[in-house]
Amino acid sequence: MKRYLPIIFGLIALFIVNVSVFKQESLISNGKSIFVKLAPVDPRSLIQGDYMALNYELYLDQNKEHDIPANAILSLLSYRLVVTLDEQYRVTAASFEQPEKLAENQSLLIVKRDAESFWNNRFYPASNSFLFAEGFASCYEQAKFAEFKVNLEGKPLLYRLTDDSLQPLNCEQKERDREERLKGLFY
Amino acid sequence: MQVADSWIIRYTQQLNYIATALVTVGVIYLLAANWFMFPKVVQLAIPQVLLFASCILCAYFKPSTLKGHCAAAFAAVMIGLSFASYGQIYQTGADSFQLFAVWSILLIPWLYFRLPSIWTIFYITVLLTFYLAQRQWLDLSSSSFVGVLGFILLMLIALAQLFCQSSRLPLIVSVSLISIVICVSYIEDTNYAERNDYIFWGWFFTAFIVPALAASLFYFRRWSAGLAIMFLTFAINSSIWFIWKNLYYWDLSIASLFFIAFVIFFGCWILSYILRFFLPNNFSWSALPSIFGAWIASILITIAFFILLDYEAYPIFSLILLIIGYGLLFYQSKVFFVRQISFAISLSGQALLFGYLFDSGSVYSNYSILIAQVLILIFSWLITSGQLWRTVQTLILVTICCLHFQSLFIYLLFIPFIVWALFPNLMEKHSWRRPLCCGLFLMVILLIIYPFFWGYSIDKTLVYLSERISFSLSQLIAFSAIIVVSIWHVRKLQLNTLIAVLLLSLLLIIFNLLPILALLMILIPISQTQDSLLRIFVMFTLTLTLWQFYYFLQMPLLTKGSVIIGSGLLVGMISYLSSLKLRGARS
Repeated sequence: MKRYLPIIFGLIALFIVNVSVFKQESLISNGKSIFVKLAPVDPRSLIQGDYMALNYELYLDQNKEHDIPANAILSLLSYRLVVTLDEQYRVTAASFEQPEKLAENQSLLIVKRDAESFWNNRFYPASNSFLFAEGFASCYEQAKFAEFKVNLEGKPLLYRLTDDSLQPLNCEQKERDREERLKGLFY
Repeated sequence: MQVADSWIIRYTQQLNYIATALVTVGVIYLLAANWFMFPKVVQLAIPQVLLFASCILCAYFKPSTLKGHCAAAFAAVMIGLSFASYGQIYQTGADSFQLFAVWSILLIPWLYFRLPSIWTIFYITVLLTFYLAQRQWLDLSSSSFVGVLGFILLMLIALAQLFCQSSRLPLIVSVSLISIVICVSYIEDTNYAERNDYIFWGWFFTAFIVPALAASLFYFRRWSAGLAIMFLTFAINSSIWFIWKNLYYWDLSIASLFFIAFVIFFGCWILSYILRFFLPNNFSWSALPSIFGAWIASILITIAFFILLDYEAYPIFSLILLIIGYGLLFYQSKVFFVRQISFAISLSGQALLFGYLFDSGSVYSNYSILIAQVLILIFSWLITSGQLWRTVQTLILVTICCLHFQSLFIYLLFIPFIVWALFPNLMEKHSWRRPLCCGLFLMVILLIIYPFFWGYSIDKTLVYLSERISFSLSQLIAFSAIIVVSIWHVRKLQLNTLIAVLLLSLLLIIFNLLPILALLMILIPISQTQDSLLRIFVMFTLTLTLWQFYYFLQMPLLTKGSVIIGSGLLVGMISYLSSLKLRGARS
């Protein structure tokens, strides 16, 4: 039995990782999509590939200190925001005020305060960067919206980037398809 | 024939290392280039498959064997990588401390095997969890944070002592550094008005109580190194606190400087004296606090002399101090206390002399005292022995050289090395050669790779050289030194090999491929030396240089990865051909 302990310990770790993966996949399948407009993006190059710094348009004034009510503060850097959506689920307004009941066109969205930013009043949902394969910067520069999957508590997952008409960019997928087509031409 | 055989064996070994390193780096670059092209399932599966495979290998080889240990350590890293890959794919905004917390928890069962590598990873993840949690979630007051950190460090020390003693040394060194950093950060906090007793006690606990408690634990467990390092930490923190207290309340007068120097020296000497009661048979460890005390005292005395004397009087007083210091050292060297005093006085004398030589009187604007200290340490290197002492001196030397790269100091440093290279038999004691050899290679390596660490790619180096005459001169001296050493080393080779090496060097200089020349030149002497310390230095440099060289190549990651793998395979092939030649010669 003692001999198999490393395998048991490894299986425990794998079980926990895959339970977490399953939870996120079910959020992607069942979560509500909301789209947040992107402010100008910033493609950068790193040794491990490329990533894009994301700046969201959450309709919150970054230049003033917000008076955040206690029931909207979740932890040191996490806050619950109430966002108003249009008919295409795009965020058009946001507020820290928590109503007793959400309207039809409202949704909860958990955001984080960007502790590194100079103003300290910049908020972002889930992540303020998006990683992609090297050489796709020109494709991802076309991103206009970030699509999030959110559950009922407003917990977001940055799902993908979309263009102006909310169609996913899927740059890597397009490249794979292009390679397949090229293979088809030669073989 | 025997010489030629040993050369081929050593070269084959070195080439194997390089080939393996190149192929590994190349595979990493290829994976990095293609990572986001992989489907999500593959991205998630890679670390998980590696984790499971390493667990099976660990079970197969058993964790107590070297192979099993390596597999277990790899599995421990893969646990973290699995969660990192999950966090990268599903960007949910979870705080990074959560990743490290889960990683730490999942490492707990693995601690059962008592493997130092897994315990070390565990220490790192626990401390990172706490540090990140403070920034992202806990928001404790500075005093509580420091106090809790001290408590966690104590717990880790106790666990290491009880369950995995082979992981204690890196932990203790880290604890010591953390304790000193906390002590300095408290002193540096300019907002003095906000300091109160409440803040003081958190700091006091981590800076003084933690080293004291850890020292008592190591005393009862009879671990000399841990006990001495904790005493040294206590001595350093006490000195920092004492200097700060006095500088704040008093003027920087000569009397106060002498007084502080005396108190620090005496306090550290008492700590060493106490330590000698605990470690009667381990003199080198028990001397640690007093060596530190003598060094600090010498700096303070030197500053006092700089203030007290006119610039022209420096050489005379330095001579007086040197005579007193060395006189005491040579005639009363059996008495420990006297030896330490003479050490401090002679250090001050030499610092004063070098301050005169290298600085035009501006004491505080430059690092002249520190430079002088380093030169002094080099001299003391020649008259003392002991592995620890030499290593510390080497590290200080390298740090200061990085700070003062453009100064005349660097050329003077080369003189003994070049002399040694030209006349190796001048120094008959073999023990002298080793530190000099290490020092030589470190200096040359620094001179060669310095521009690459500051963002000068190969094509920009030429512009850099033309702009900075002093740098090109230092390059010239460095290359002269290393070529002289290399010629001395390669003289056992056949003449045609020597000519080939020199021609290749000339070509590399013409094409400005300086790091490649450095690699070539480094490879030649290390294949002759049996010195493990030197080999570690050189292999470390080799890796850094390769990494820097490839990092600055302006090409896509995919091409870069392919080129590196290609180079690795080529080197591997040369290694294989060398081994074939060796086999042929033997048969």
